[in-house]
Amino acid sequence: MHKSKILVVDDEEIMRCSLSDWLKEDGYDVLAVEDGYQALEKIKKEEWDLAIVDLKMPKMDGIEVLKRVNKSKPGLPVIIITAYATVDSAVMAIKEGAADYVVKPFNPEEISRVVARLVEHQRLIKDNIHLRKELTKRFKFQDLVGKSSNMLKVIEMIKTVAPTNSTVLIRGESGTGKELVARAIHELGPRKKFPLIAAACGAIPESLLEAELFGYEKGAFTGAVSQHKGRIEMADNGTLFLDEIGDISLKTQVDLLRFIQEREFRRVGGNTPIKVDIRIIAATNKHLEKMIAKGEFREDLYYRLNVITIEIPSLRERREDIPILAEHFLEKFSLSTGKTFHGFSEQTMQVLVDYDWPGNIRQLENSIEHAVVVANEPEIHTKFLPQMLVTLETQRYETKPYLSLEEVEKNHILTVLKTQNWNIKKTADFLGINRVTLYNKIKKYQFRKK
Amino acid sequence: MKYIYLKTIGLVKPTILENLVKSLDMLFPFQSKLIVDEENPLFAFEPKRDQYYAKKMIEKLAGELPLDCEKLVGITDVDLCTPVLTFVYGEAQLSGNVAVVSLNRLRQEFYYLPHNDALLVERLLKECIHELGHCYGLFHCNNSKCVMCFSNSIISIDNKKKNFCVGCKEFVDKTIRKENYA
Repeated sequence: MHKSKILVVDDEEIMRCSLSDWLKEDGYDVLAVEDGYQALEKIKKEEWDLAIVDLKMPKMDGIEVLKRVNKSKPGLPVIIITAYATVDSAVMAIKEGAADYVVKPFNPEEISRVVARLVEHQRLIKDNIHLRKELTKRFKFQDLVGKSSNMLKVIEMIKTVAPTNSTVLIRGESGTGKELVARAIHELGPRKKFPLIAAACGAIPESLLEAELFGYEKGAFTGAVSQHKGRIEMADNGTLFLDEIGDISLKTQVDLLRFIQEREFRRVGGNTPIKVDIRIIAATNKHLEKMIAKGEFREDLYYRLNVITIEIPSLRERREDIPILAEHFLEKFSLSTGKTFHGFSEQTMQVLVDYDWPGNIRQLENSIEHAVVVANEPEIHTKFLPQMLVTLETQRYETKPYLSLEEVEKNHILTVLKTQNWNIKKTADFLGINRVTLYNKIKKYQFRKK
Repeated sequence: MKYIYLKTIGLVKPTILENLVKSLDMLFPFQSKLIVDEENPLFAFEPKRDQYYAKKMIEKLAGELPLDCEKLVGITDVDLCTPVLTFVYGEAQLSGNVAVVSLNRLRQEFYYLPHNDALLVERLLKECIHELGHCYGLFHCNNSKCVMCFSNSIISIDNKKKNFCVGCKEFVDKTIRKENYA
């Protein structure tokens, strides 16, 4: 269980030791320092749940420490303690934002109540922040929608593997929702009370990835000014999601393999082995087998990760899900923008279903967001979709078997006019007709340059 | 063979200690032995507070540990305090060998109530077990009935049982096994 961290600041050694010993017996993680400067340095570098600061200290008094803490770490509660209590100093301490003012020596009942109350309050604040983040993530989890047989298989697989502790490898093209699947596995499993920590291996520079995953000790390298917990350590009891696993170097692959085998690691620059209990979920859009053949990915790591595989289909492989996804995103962005829509026009939905979506769900989501922002009518028409989709839609209509020759001609001329930026000569040359004929066509089809 | 030593610090009524030894023998896998030292612990006296520093007693006892000592608990009748607390019922070295417990505030007379030896022994036993628990590395327990629950009043001492809860017992047994039979 996480121990609450308390920083004790007192210039008298006997007080520091006595208070630390007593707090340690209560199960707190305590550090005692002798002056305000050391305290501020510690507060800057580490996370604390409570600071207990003596009022009278030679270098910097408790009120000054309190003021500076309020500036640098406004959420950290500070108890001012003193053996020389006066009404003035008590008022001053409370005015400056002290969480409490207690006279030394303390009545055991009083101080234990004060410390427990503040630590509990701090825990609730942290829980609240965590829950808010989780709530946002849960909202995203709802994006995992679909009724196609491909997607139903994925959802069934998620339900099957979630209660187990097995390592899962999620494969799928970019934008298919691999992180959503990882989050769903975590949320439906026994580790849901603990965090899911994601590490986008491809997004973190190679030189930083090792430190980011395993953490580092103070002084491990230039710039390591304080101890830093890595993603693996942060995920203890929870789930570690290694996204874009195919992008990591062979050196990091070795470190990762050792960790997966032993479930134990050392921070960069550290000697102490740290044991963690985590579930690993990895994801990739790369063809790992081809990478193994080329010597770019370790086979042993592949087998360690590939215990259970979930293949997420691309959006074009589950076109029947596009309408439901589009409606879902329309509702989502309507809510966030405060606009009201009846839905998509028939033609718009056809464009969405026919498009190949190389960027998958992420691209669909972005396109719907674009349409919602741009649209000034209650129905989403093709004109509100991103230009790229509209252009392709026009081209697609040219090849539709049910269009008349005249319609195909009309669409084609309009597309070329747009792509040539309404330059008549260039358009006529492109179409292989003379300018007079082009003018006649523009007149016939009533094209207007916007 | 190792023993849990109980050492008096100043005058303490012998019958109380005899009962204590018997009860501790049943709880820990070590026999208890009594050492009587009736010298007044003036070295730990703090005149400004008219009390005795628990830590100073612990430091002195730690320097006089018998060779066959598993843990040592000092028993005193004087009122104990620490630099930061107005009083303590006892104090221990966390994961160490020595603890000290005071009878002073465990007596009914301290609260202007009639003398009760049986109750005094029971309270003393609870505090000794509590401090020994700290010596075996235990923190305070959230279970209000567990002997390791933090007591800041005589009522809270009377409310808790003279045993470890399941979790604390398991921890102590494991520590004893590790320290003695590993």
